[in-house]
Amino acid sequence: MGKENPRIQNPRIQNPALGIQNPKFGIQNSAFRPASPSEEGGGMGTSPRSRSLNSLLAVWVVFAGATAARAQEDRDLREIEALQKKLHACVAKVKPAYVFIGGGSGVCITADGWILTNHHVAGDNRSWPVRFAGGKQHTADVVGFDPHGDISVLKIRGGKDLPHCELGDSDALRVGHYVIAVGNPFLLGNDSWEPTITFGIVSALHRYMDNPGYFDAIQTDAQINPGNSGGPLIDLDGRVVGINGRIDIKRFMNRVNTGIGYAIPANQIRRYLPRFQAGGRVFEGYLHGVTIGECGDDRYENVGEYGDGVFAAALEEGCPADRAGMKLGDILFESEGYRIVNSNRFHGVMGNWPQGETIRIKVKRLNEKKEREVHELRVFLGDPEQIRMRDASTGKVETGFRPSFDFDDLGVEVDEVAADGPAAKAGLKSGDVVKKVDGRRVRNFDEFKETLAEKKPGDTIKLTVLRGEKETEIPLVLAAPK
Amino acid sequence: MAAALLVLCALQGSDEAHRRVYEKVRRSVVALRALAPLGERSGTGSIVSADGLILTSYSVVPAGSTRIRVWTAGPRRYDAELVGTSERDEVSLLRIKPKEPLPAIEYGESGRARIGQIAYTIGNAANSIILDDQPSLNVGVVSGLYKLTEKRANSTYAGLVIETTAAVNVGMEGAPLLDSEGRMIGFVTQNYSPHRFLGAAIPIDSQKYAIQSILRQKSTTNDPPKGEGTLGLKARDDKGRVVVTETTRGGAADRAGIRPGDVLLAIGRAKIRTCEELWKRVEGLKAGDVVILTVEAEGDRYEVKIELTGK
Amino acid sequence: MTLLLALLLVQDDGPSAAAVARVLQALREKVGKSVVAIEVDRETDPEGRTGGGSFGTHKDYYNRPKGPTSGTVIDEGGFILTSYFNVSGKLRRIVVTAWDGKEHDAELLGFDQSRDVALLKIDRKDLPTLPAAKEIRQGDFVAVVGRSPDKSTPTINHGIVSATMRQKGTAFQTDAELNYGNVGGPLVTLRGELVGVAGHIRPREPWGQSGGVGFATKFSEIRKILSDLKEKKNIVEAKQPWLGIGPGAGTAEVQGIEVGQVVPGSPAEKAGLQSGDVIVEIDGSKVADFDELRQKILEKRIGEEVKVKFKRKEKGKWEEKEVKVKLEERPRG
Repeated sequence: MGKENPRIQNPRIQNPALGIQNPKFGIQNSAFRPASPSEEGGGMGTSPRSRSLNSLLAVWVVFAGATAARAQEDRDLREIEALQKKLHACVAKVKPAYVFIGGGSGVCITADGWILTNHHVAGDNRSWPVRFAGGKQHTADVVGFDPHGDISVLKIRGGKDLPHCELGDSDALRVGHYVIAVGNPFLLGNDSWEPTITFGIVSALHRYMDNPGYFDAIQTDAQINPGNSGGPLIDLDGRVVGINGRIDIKRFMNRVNTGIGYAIPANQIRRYLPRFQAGGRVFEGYLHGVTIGECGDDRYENVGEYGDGVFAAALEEGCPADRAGMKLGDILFESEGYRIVNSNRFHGVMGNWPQGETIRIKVKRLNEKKEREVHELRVFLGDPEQIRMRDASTGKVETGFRPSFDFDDLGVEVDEVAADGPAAKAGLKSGDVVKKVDGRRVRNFDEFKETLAEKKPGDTIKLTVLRGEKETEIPLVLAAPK
Repeated sequence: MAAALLVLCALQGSDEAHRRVYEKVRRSVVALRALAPLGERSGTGSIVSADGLILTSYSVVPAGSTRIRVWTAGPRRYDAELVGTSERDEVSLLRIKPKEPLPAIEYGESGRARIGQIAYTIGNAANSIILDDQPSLNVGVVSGLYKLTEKRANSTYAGLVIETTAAVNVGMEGAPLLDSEGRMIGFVTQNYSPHRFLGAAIPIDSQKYAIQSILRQKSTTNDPPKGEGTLGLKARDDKGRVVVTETTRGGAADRAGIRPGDVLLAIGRAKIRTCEELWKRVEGLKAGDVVILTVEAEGDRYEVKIELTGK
Repeated sequence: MTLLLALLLVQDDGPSAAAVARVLQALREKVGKSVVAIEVDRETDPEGRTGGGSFGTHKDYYNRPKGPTSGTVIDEGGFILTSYFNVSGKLRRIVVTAWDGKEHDAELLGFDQSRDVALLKIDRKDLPTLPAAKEIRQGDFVAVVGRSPDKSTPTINHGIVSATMRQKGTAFQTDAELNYGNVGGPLVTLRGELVGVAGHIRPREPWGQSGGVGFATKFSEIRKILSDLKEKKNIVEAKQPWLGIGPGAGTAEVQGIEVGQVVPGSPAEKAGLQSGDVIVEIDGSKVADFDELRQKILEKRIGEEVKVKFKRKEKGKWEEKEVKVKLEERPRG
């Protein structure tokens, strides 16, 4: 170990084809021969002369060797047990915050019950029974979701003092770091409510793939299988660094893990979280109005080499990038500390933020002296017009009450009324059942929401409410979401 | 004090070893795409010399391949030429022309591989290098050493393989198998035991000879002319041992890795104790003949196959 | 002192890489003597196939490939425990190869299908057994020892205990890679104590080989039934109605229960269900999740026809379809 053998660089032929030709040396020897701990490598054996010389010392050497070997073994085991202890501590910290949801997993990240999971596990506008490890059950509603980015965020009703796990810093991860996946592969935990723990390393970072859009994914060889989706990827400090969501199954087309799993990183989720918590669908960022080319594309001039980044091939007048000062031919190479080296990475980096955010993008621009100067631009992500229209038409309004989870299609039962909200001001109470909105019959919460589609903050809606035996009309003034 | 240090070493995230190996090797691994006679292939290769020589599995770039493209760390993209192949050894060598010297991968010794030792695979899993400039690292152990007798998928190699639990996936054919210090002890083959469903790598020791062989065929200055066979070395007697004193640059012994100071113990099955015995045995041989020398160097013994050149 | 410091700092590979290697190598030697290779000459297996499928692709994986499996020396007197699936079906001959290469004919004594264990006896009394492990927790490091495909050497790989209550509480779950080669071999702690015997690797299970989900029947369970097995008692699983699908991860596009795997030869396959289909109704009632679906099927009888309404994506559009599936008996062993 240690000392470099220069001959190895210039491949010195050592043991050519020995494993096959001469079974006395090489691979077969070291593997098949039960080597004693004091021996190293594929020894060639001693000559008869030296063996006879050593016979006198043999007993003493063996004895000394054996005690030394045992001491080494104890040291080795203690080292490994130190890591095992860290694993136990990690599992003890994280297991209580894990939740079983539907056909997958989730993790609770606040004491009042905010839960992260994949969109393909929890969907859009639904309520779910969720179970903590051990079996304690609660009801949680999907609040915000991103079908393309595959995240749904739920809130446990009346959540208080719940076990939870903090989000860690996914940008502090390096390839080789140990990580742990907690999940429910093949729904094996459903009879005992004991989640599955698997252990591996970070294999790669900043991975982008589409369908669904995993923009800055962590790749890991900790085994992830169907049922792990939505569950947390944890670092050895017990913090959530990612949400596991997909595996690569091109090898043999089995829906079984072969060592490639992907997780959405915690830092990306943190940037989206306020929008998820506000509710509704969240859209990921992109550069509106800019046509991107990849550096090294030989159909263009002055666009650098492959690996330099991407360049602005076309710019719509008045688009956010234009207003930020981007020019045709600018080479985009970095944004908020993330490197942009090709078009795949570019799309990945943009998706790290939700639409509506403004981020810093570094570009290299040719000046009059034909040198590349670095400029930093602050660019708004998304199409401002589209965002405004969307906010208006999906009726981003606040009613101030939360509905019950029900099946009976009677109406919308009021579960919780937010203090000081529109419902409280209107006099709505827990237990009331809303049967009509503006004269239109609503049988469940989906239908109720449809009536709000065109409404704006400040609009009044007339609710027909069943309280006990009596029906009353209650006007409610819609507010803007906080 | 010592106790505190030992505790510190144990608490030191043992994943630091993984991170260190990654930093050491990641720039020596490349992604490959090629148009083979039967369709497009892709996989992983290792940089084996600073001037741009790349080693990969024959299944990724078989003979007759064109449009060979290489992605290196950076990322940078190159067109490569096929230097030579050995189908039986499942080896292909490519060359790219980088502007600056590239970091070559360090060879390990597959002969020293032991079941239970830590092993890594690193490569273009799921196109991680081509798409995101990120070689994928997987850790496991050497879990088995055995012979594969059938050739599966596009593999052209049957023989001894190193089985590993480090993940092996599409895109990693040709990827290096590393020991705990990041040295290449084998490269991934598409072949595997369906009975175990784990990744397998072809041991590097036997392939080093194949590599030399391919290089020799391609370089014209080393074509041996027909005539008397020569080893290309000088030796002296030393109390019953034949010690090499000099090797001819580019000669048979030099290219086989023999250096001054090495001891020649046997030629074929015959022990040699004097230079006279050595030369007597070489006398009748011709250029192109192959001999097996048993050589002692740095305390270890090796068998070396040498093809004699002309004078 | 400074020398010690210098040595510690200069050490090339982090302490744990070399330590893990030494421990696994020592384990392999220690435990290897208690592991045997098992080869079976089989007329048919419980599902009527003769085995010998080719490569590990999705379809062929369900044809168990030919080759040796493993067994664990469980009791002095030549008693070998292995996975029941390894020795299932109509057998002509069982050959056990011990660590020293000697071959022995084996007799099949008793088996327990739901725990997936079977007891063999060979005429040899000197093979060592392993000490029992004490408390096992989630997160413990473990290793599984098997025999190589050419039977010449023990194989070893390691992982952690992923869960402690699986297979109705009779097995531990591990992410150490389990496959047809090492199933039947021992799962041990890093000190060489026996945790359990690897099992439940069978074509009908969705987790496949080396997928990071594997099971070992607990040694405490084995101890409970060992004397019964020695007396050639066969503990057979109750007959259950069977559809033959495994759960998928779910899709954002359609609500329902996504089909992950369709077991080849199963009633689901015969009816035409495919991986990726999303089931919405069974016999007219909606099913909320896979557990509910499983329960509903268990309520039916073997031979009963159920109407399965599902959605399938064709040419980018989700089409609603319906099939009638005739439930069969769940294959055993």
